[in-house]
Parts: sequence; structure tokens; C-alpha cells
Amino acid sequence: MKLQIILLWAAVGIYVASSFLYIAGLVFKRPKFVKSAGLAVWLGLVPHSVSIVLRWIQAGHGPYVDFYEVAGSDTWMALVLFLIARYKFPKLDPVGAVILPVSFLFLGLGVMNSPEITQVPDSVRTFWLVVHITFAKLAYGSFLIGTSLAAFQLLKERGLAKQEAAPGVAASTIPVEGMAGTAVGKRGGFLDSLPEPEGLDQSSYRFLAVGFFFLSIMILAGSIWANNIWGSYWNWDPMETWSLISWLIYGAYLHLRSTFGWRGRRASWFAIFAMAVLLFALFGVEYVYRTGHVLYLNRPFPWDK
Amino acid sequence: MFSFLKSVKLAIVLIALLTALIVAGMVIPQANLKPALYAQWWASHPGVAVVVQRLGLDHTFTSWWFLAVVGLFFVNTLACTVDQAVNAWRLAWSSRSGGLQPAGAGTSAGYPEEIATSVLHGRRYVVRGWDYPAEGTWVFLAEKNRAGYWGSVIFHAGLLLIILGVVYGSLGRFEGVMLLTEGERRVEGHGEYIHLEEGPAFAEAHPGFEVGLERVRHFPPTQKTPAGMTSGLTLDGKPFQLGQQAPLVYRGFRIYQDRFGDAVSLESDPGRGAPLQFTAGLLDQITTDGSKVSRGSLVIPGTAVRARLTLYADAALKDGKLFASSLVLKRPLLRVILEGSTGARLFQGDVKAGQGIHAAGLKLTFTGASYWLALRIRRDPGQDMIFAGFGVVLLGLILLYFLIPRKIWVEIKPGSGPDCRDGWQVSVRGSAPRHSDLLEAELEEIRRKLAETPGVYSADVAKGELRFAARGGHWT
Repeated sequence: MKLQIILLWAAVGIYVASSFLYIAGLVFKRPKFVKSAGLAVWLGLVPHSVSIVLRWIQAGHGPYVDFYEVAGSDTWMALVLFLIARYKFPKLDPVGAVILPVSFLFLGLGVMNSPEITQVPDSVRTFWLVVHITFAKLAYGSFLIGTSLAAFQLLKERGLAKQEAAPGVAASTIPVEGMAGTAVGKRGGFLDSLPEPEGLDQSSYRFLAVGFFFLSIMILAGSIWANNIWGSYWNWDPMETWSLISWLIYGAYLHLRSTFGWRGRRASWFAIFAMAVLLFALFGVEYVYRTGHVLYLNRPFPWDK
Repeated sequence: MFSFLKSVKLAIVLIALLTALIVAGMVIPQANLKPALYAQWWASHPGVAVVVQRLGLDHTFTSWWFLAVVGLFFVNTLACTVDQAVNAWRLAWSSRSGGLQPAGAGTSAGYPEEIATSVLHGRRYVVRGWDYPAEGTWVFLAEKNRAGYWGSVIFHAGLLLIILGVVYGSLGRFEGVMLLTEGERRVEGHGEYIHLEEGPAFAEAHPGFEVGLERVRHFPPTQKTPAGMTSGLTLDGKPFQLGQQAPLVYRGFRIYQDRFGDAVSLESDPGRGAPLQFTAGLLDQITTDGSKVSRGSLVIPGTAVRARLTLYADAALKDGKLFASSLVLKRPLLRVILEGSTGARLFQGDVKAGQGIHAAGLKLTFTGASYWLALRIRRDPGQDMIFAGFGVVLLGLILLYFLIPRKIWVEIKPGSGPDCRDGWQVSVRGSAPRHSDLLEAELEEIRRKLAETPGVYSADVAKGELRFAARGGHWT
């Protein structure tokens, strides 16, 4: 247990350093800092992954039961998705300035939470639980990246508006490889490192649409799982209901984009609002409601620890 | 009317309304979902609670206005789906409606055609048809991912199937909780349940099988698994093992273990005739003075004496006091308080299994302890429809987001101007319902590929125009 905690704290430390490098790299216009920050994520994933594997072996179940496990595995998935995304679209690299701080904060909160192992009966560990949990992590990772892109879209658009308002500043147009659009901004400014707002907007949309797909699978698999073990596919449990609310909100986002042509600022603000609801569904519900989402795993043993 | 019902604006309004109502249902305590919490809230907010109750906000998810919004959402989704299906049909088959000749018919455009079709085939495009708009000019249409047009239709059809499944399921559903103590048998039927919910179309279709509880086995927790239990059941005389959170399916009904607890078997002998044996399930499980105990009370049959019973399932002495760390039966000890009809206490004492007491003119023997089990028996005829709907929804999403349909038109016409001599001019254009930036990227890739082929002597990749020399010609 001690080793897991030490490894996770090491990962938190590396992610803090990576966040610092990302932000410093963007603010002080040092591309080398940004590059090093990306390498630091790879480095941080080593102790992070080892810690998750150790916990898995020790607990005898996957990392999905308590906040300690969920925070550790969700941030891991978000960071892995981010690394895949930046490999595919190198211009996404600066998005790390949002993803890394969010990740180390959640991971830190998770480590500070009780690492006591909650036992899970064998009977609930079914195929559908694996699908439910895997897609939950994929969904949250995709939404986090999509929302970060939306936030950068807003920043970029604001920067461009300011630039247009300031006379005598030349704009540069840099072709972007692997992404829609080109980077436009003040020559040498930190916004240069980002694609143009339309490209960010499109990429954000794609991640959110894929996240919606994953979220749908998560809800559907959870529902089948619940039906198999408790006899009811829908219990109006606060966590499942808030997940449904998130799903409806993302559904509205996709409709607003595809039918009403919502793009740019409006779509980005909506994406940030949807993410706030999703974060509440994932982490906030347990503090407000008495949800049995995880505790149900041990039902019906009210008298046994 | 249909244009109003199929309106996407209406869909957005309904999604927003549904979301708001569900949030309201999450913020306001719901009487039917959390009765204890609701009672607590009612006691602390009596003024607001009355208003909430009058408006029906305390049972949001079963209120007529919530169901009305869901109903309207269903109608809207149905209308949208029909409209989208018509559009998808038109888009998917527009090559026919556009009057194109089938692929392979007519004269060949020669070398540029071979090159263009080969490049498009390499990118999984299928040539759908040809047109000859002017003398010596060929236009052909190539498509891929045509199934993607149906993504939205299939996704919404899946949602409709889920809603239909929920409605069908709630009409014909049945759920009941039956209490059994070890060794007891009951014939399934309306009167045998302590809690019952039946849909209006269930029509008393009870299967009427015999249920017996043979034995409940308790497993202590291990390092990796929590405590568990299994029940040995008989159904119509056949033995079955029922696991924790692992139901049995019998004659279309699903049988689950729900709560369980301790029961005591007693024998009373009031001295008038034969002794009477009976078993009492102690439903009240509480912690008192640090001990986990089961409690219950009953009027002893044939007398006016009320017995208040507290069972220490695993009794031990701790600091001179009776203590039990769990409700798992190991060393049962029963605390008995007998009261007369006026409530006057007649007796209080502790007995072990096999021991009896003499008080108030009767002999009461604690013959042993066992477990009671609440079986939840349910049937939901809409369940399979809902799960089929889930599958359809996912299929729709896959088609919608991972199979974007694309159309590409290639126009081949005789070259003009002094450079073209006997060659051709080729133009490439395309369309896609979503992600037009990705289509543009692909078009550029196709044009670049075409421009690299021998025989092309002039290419404007951005415009999509290429000039081919005559077969065998070369760049000059």
C-alpha cells in the first residue's frame, strides 16, 4: 500500500512539473518547455501505471470502486488519450496546459482520500461491469480533451479579437499538419502554437461526439449490468440519473451543432457547461446525495463491513 | 402539424424540458424513491412540502406531466425519424434519381477514367453511375460509407424502441417480495407477497410455482471478497442454488435474493392441549449498545401475551454485558420480554436455544434460530425490447459518427486551349453531410494522387483541375 501511495505521489509531482512546463512554455513562448512537458507526461505515466497495477493485484478487482481508484484510473485514461491525440495531431500539444493541471488535482485528491480496499463480490464482476467501467473512463477522457479544446478555442478567438482591435500588428498564417485549419495569430505569440479557432472547434466537436458515443455505451452497459444483478435496469439512483442528464446535455450540444449551426464561442461555452455537469455526475453526486452506485456492490449486507 | 412535430427546434425544447424536470426530480426528495429521506424532509420543511406535494413534484418521474413530456418527445422523435428516413433514402439513392447511367455502361473516357477510378477504388469508393452532359464530356459519381446516411435514423429508431419497451414493460410488469424462513414452502400467488407491484396489463398472470427455502449459507469475508450468502431453494420440488446478486430465471420470472435476517422458532405451551410451534422472522435489525441484534414482537398464539424478542445471533460477554458483533448465527441467545394485554411487564430474561421459560401461566421454549430470506420475484416483458433498443442506438451512433458518407464527382472533358492538344481536363469535386473539413483533406489527397500519375501535365490541386495529355503522352 505504501509503495502505491509513494508511486502515485511521484506521478503527481511529475504532472505538476509537466503542468508548470506547459504553462511556462506557452506564456514565455518556449516550445522546448512544451516539448519537455509532453515527455514528462510519459515519465509520470510509469509510476502511475505501476501503482494502478499494484492496486489491482492487491484488491483483486479493477480500479473502479472508491474515489482513490476512480481518480487514479480516470486520470490515467485521460492522459493516455491525450498522448494518443497529440501524437496524431501534434498541434494539440498545448492542450496539456489544461489537461495536466486537472489531472494532477484529481489524482492528488484521490491519493489523499482513504486508500482502504472496498471488497467486491465475485458475482457482480461480470462482462457488463467491465464494459461499463472501460467506457466510462474513455468517455470522461474524451470529454476532458474536447472541453480543453473548447476552452482553447475561446482563448484563441479572444486573442484574435484583441489583435484585430490593436492596429499595426501583422498576422501570420502557418499551415497546420494533421489538423483542420491553419494557425493564425500574432507572430511569435503563444496563440501561434494553436490551430485557428475553426480547427479547434472542429476537433473539440469530434472529441465530444466520440465521448457521447462512449457515454452511451457506458449508460447502456451499466443498465444491463444492473438489470442482471439487481433486477432493475433503471433505479433513478442519483449517479445514474446525473449521467443521463449529462447524456441529454451532450445530445442537445450535438443537435445544436448539426441542426442549428452552433459553432465557435457558443458551442465552446456549451461544451464547458456540459463538462461541469459531467464532473458533478462523476465526483459531486456522492457529496450531495446518498448514492448507492458503488455501495450497491456490497448489497445486501448492511451488517457486514 | 407534421412539420411542427418533426421540428428539431421542438426536439431541443423537449430535451431541455426533460433535463430540467429530471434535475427537479433529483433536487426535490421523491416520495416513491426514498421514502425515509422524504419523510425526514417533509418533517423539516412542512410548508414547502405541502406545495411540492400539491404540484406532484414529490413523484416527478411518475407524474402525468413528466409522462406527457416523454410522450411528446416520443412523437417528436418518431416524426423526426420518419422525416430523416425520407431524406436518407433520397441522399443514399440520389445517383438513381439524378438520372445517371449505371456504372460500366456507355462509352469509356479512356485513360483519365482508368486512373481516376483506380485512385478512388483505392480509397474504398464505389462508382455509382455516369452522365454525359455534353458531347465528349463524362461525369461519374463515386460514393463511400453510404450506410452512414442511415445513422441518425437508426439512432432515433433505437430511442423509440427503448421508450416503447419501457411503456410495454410498465404495463405488463410484475414485482413482488416474498418472505420465507428456512424450511418453509409457499405456492407463488397474489396473497403470498409482503410487497407487490403489478402493471395494469399483468392480469394476475401468476405462474403459481411452489417455492421452498431449504437453507441459507453465509460466507465470511475474505481478503478479496466481502461476506456473501447463497440460498438453497426448491422450485416445484427441484433444487436450485441462488447466489448473491446472481438471479435465477424460472418460467420467465427472475428470482433474486433481497434482504435476509434472523428468525426464531418457539414452542408455547399454555397448558391447555398440545404445545404450539411457530417461527417468527425478526425484521428489525439494529445496533444497540454496540451490539448488532435482530428484534421483533408478536402476540403468542392463543394468549393475550405479547413477546418482545431480541436475538443476539453471536452472543458473547464483553465487560460483563451481553454483546453480539454480527447477525450471523453462531451462538444465538434470545432476550425475551413478556407483556400482558395492559402492557405490564410479566417477565424479562435471556434464554439459549433449547431452553424454556415459565411465566404468565405458559411455558415458552426457544427451540432454535434460523434465517429468513426476502425473495424478489419479477417479470418485465419490455426488457428485451429495451435491450434491443440499446443495440440499435449503438449501431446508429457507429454509423453516425464513424461512417461519414461521401460523394465525389469526377468530370472528364476534352482539353481545350493550345496546351491540351488531344488530352483531357479532369475536375474532382465532393460533398459530405458532416465534417466537410475531412472531406476537403481527402479531396486534396485524391487530387495530389491524380496529379502524380504519368500523363498529367498540368494540375491545380487546390481547384481540383488536372490536365491529361493523350494516352502515352508525357509532361511537357
